[in-house]
Amino acid sequence: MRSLLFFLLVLVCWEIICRASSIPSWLLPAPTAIVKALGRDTESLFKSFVFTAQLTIGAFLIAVVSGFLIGLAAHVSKNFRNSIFPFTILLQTTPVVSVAPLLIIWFRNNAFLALLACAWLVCVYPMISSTVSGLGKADANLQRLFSLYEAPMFRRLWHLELPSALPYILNGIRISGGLALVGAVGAEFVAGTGGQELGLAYRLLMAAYNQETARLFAVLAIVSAFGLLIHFALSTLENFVLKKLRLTPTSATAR
Amino acid sequence: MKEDLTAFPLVECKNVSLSFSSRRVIEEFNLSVKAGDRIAFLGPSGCGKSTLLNLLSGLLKPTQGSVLRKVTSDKISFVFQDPSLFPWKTVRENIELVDVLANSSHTDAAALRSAIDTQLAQVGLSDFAESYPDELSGGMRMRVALARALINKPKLLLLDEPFAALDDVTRERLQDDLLKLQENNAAAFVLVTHNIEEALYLCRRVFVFAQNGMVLKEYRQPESAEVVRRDSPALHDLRREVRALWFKSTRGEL
Repeated sequence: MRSLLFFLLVLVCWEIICRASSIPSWLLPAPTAIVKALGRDTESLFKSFVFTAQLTIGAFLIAVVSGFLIGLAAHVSKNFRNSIFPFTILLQTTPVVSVAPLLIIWFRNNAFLALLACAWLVCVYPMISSTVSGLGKADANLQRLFSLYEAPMFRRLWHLELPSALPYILNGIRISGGLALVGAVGAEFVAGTGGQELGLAYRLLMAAYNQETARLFAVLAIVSAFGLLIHFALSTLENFVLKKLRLTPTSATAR
Repeated sequence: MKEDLTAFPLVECKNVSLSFSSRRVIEEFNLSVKAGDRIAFLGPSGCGKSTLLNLLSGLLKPTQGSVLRKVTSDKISFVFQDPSLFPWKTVRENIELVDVLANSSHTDAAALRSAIDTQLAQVGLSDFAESYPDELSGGMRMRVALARALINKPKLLLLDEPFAALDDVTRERLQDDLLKLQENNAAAFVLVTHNIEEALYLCRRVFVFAQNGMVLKEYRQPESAEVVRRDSPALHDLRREVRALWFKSTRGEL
């Protein structure tokens, strides 16, 4: 509530400064001008939003499933973990802009797939890393108990390691969600959307090119609002699951 | 003539040594645990007491010597310093899972349910079967851990500093509960502790360890001895003696 009030205060101050000063609107448009820009082109902006949202959600879901499965496999098999480790580091350290051109060549018949792959590259690492680290965090005493009774791997995973890893995995899901949007918009920028009038990044580029600053801000507002929505939705899911299972958030999860 | 089965050791350590990297943790250790035995490993932190429990249970293999186990792993139970309950499971489910892990001897769900009820009644938690661990106090959680450890009717109970984190009153109550439970269940137990009084009060055989993992002395109380009273002069004298031995050891006078 306080942050909402603060945000409104910033908007009011911003509006007053823009009206009272001689700052040209192409440099800093007033919030009311941004709202007008939003209202002027609702249909095309909405279409672009739907495209970017599909890209973000698609990349996010694939990253969650694939990151979890890769993390699980790395936990179960030491050989797989050792083999894949350098590549997961590459996922984290290689900027997507440097890989995007290659992906665009590979998926030249399907721009959406190329963008999806770029966004996936950006958001999959936190899932892999949090799954691997979470699965290794089960209570050491309970691990001893499962070892004593020679519990099969599946039983150990299902009853002990997966529930214990949930705080970490949910934390990874939340981080991946935010990064999926960053990846989607970034990928659209890098790919230049192949001249297709599709995502929000295209709208941003066009607004900047035409020096329509109010419109640029309007698109930025949509991207930010979507990012916040993703964050709050995933945080709510995380809190709900942790509360339901009476698990405490990890230090990394604690906000 | 029938053989006395209690005379056979459940676990026997013969000249057991264990090293981690180049560091010797356990040195030439010998022990025979028979049914009904109450044994304590007493010593400073890091002297290898918990490691010995892992050797007895088969979780670790000795680098030298042998550990012969007549008792199968499903008839061994662990209680840890931390109750280590599953926070997402109720008290009943916590106990149930260990029973399943230890290849339940209960014929059906009703038998298991009744066995859990009996164990919970033994530890005074009949009304808390459907509670979650975070709704219980530290002492109650430890009682659940005890009930969980007894559900598979173990022949050997391994206790790794189970009362170390509890306040004095709760600890004493749980110590008495443990003696009663052991009597009812006829299990042998091996207790790891650094509390001299606890070791002497609960156990008939007490191994005192030095920091380097060597056994300084083994104290034995006669098999026929009644449970020692906490305020008995004999316990007090013995406590003083063990304390003096331990101090000498830490000062390198032995």
